[in-house]
Amino acid sequence: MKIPFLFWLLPLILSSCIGTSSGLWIEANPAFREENQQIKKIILIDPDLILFEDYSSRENMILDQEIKEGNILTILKKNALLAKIDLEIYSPVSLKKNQITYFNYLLPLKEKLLQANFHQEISTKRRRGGIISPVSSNRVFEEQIILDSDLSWLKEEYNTKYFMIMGLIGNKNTKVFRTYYQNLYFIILLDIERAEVMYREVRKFNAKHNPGELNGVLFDSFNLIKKLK
Amino acid sequence: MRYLLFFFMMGSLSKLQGQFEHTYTPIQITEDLPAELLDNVRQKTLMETASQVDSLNSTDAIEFYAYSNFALNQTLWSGNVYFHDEIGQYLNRLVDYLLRDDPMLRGSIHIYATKLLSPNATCFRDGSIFLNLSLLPYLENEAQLAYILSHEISHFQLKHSLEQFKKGKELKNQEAWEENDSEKLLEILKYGREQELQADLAGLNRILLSDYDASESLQALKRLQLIDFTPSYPELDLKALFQLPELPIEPSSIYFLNKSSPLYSKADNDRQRSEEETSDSTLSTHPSIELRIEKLAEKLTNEKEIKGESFIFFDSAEFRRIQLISIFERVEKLSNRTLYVQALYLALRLAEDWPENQYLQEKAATSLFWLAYYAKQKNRDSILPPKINPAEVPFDILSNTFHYMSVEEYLDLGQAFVLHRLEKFPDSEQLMILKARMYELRSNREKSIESYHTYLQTYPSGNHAPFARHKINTYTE
Repeated sequence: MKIPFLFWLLPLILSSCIGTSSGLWIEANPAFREENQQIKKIILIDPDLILFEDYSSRENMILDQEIKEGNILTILKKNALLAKIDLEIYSPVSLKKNQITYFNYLLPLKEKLLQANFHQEISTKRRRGGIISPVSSNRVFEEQIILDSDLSWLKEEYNTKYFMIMGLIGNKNTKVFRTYYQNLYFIILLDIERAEVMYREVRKFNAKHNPGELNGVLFDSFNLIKKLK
Repeated sequence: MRYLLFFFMMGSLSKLQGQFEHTYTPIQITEDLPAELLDNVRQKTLMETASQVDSLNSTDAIEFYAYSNFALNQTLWSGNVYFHDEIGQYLNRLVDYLLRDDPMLRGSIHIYATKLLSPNATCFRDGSIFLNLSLLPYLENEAQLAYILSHEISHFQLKHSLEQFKKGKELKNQEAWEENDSEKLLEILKYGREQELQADLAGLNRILLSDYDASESLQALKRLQLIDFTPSYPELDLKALFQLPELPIEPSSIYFLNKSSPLYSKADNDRQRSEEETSDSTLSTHPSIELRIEKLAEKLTNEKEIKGESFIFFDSAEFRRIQLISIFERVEKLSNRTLYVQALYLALRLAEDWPENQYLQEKAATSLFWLAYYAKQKNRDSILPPKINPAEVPFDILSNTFHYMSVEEYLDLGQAFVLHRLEKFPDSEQLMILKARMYELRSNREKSIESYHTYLQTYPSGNHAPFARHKINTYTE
């Protein structure tokens, strides 16, 4: 979990949050709809998982963070597999001491992807004179989000051209004796060979982070990646 | 912008640094990840809580250790910390020397260099010290760096994190505490400033026990004043900066270059300094530099009178080399953070001293490509620094020029630069790819495919090879 990275996701997150309690927003590169059925393997880099719910204090949340992250990663892998996607996760929770490419290439790639996503959020920025407003629920990118091509060799190193970043941010609020669980889930999928973002999804949903609820959301998400037409 | 200024603080750099003559390879991890990186926050917190010697009750202990371990974990995993690197090794040697007579304290100190762009150093509760490389160019010699490290070590030795936590708890337990209780928050800040002064003096004490010239400690603090200080510069010559036979920018775009207003004068500097001196430090985590210098000078005068001896001064070539690495690393970080004008400017200025360095030209060309890309997407404001009026230092003038250039000028400048540098460095993978991408940006498909083919003939297994192959396939389908 890298909180500083989240700054670069603010436009994406805000664009999907205004005036809504739940929803699904997806955007895809036109080429993605032609080849997504063939996706077999995705490299997931350092998922941002921040779950504030169900804790009496933040220190308890901190103490349980790694266990919760581990559980969510297991659910992620399982649902990816149901969509016939081999999800390889590189995160502090699961990293081995010899996996130095994580620091040398994967984290810099994540930073570049977030930066490109932040600066090239063109269609949302243009609306209302620069004020970010909700994007439509299902659209193609008006202009492609592109990156440097210097890491395209990672395709051969990891035996796939798909690299992904994702986040799940959950919060619990109590108002007038009622408890609300608010969650934001996002993914950004990159084709490293094209050096272009292929697919972006943001969901807002109200549910506790129990395995059943998360299963439903993640199952749907991976199926969309694989079957979007 | 101020982060670029330090380059000029260093004065003339020795050209004898062969490591930088032809290219530069950014620092990467080459060994296994360090053990502390794989620490589990939960286990570490529970273990420390069980064996703590900090006189905290168990609830407070868990809170204190959990937060500090979490913050440390975040920093170590941020991707901004170097591990097993040359700079870290150098910093560790300095600490070895400073703590040569205190092996127990030495064993608790873990020192790391970071890529963060703010000139700063931080000490964590457990003795982990993070020195941002951006601080190094402000310093003049190893003795000044030793003082900065000694200051940070003192924070650990004096248990400042713990004391601050206890102070916060004490205030929180008082009546009528609210999260936004500004009076109590100001009190915590004041307490923090007192700790900084303590660390200044304790740091000096350690330096006095070493062979470093203790008066350099005072100089180190004076150098920190430069962080917020704008020095005088000669006028910017864009043509000289880009080193192109013809500069493809119309005079109308070079708006600020034509004006004849004087650059920052001594009077301006004095005014700026005077404004800083009178600024209120109530809301600051640190005391004013002036106060810190005053306290340190007082202590130093007394010590010199007692000792009555001159001091030995270290000025190692190694320090200068480490300083240079830190500036090259900064180019890399600026570029990765899409701060393209800053990366371009720093790379071109460094290239004045290292004209044969391929890395610098590649970084400058990459920045120009992306600036052109964003300009073409009508999205340049997203990555340009804000306009400064009046722009009176070279970086601001360059930055403002980009605000006034047309899209065609961006494309012309980027392409001219890439082609010109490719003549000088014909084997550069990066420049070859940028040539193809520049043609693509100009919708010149034929030239673009030709350039991708040339790249693949030269580098069939190059870093960009899958990308180049994909482009050719897409265009020829």
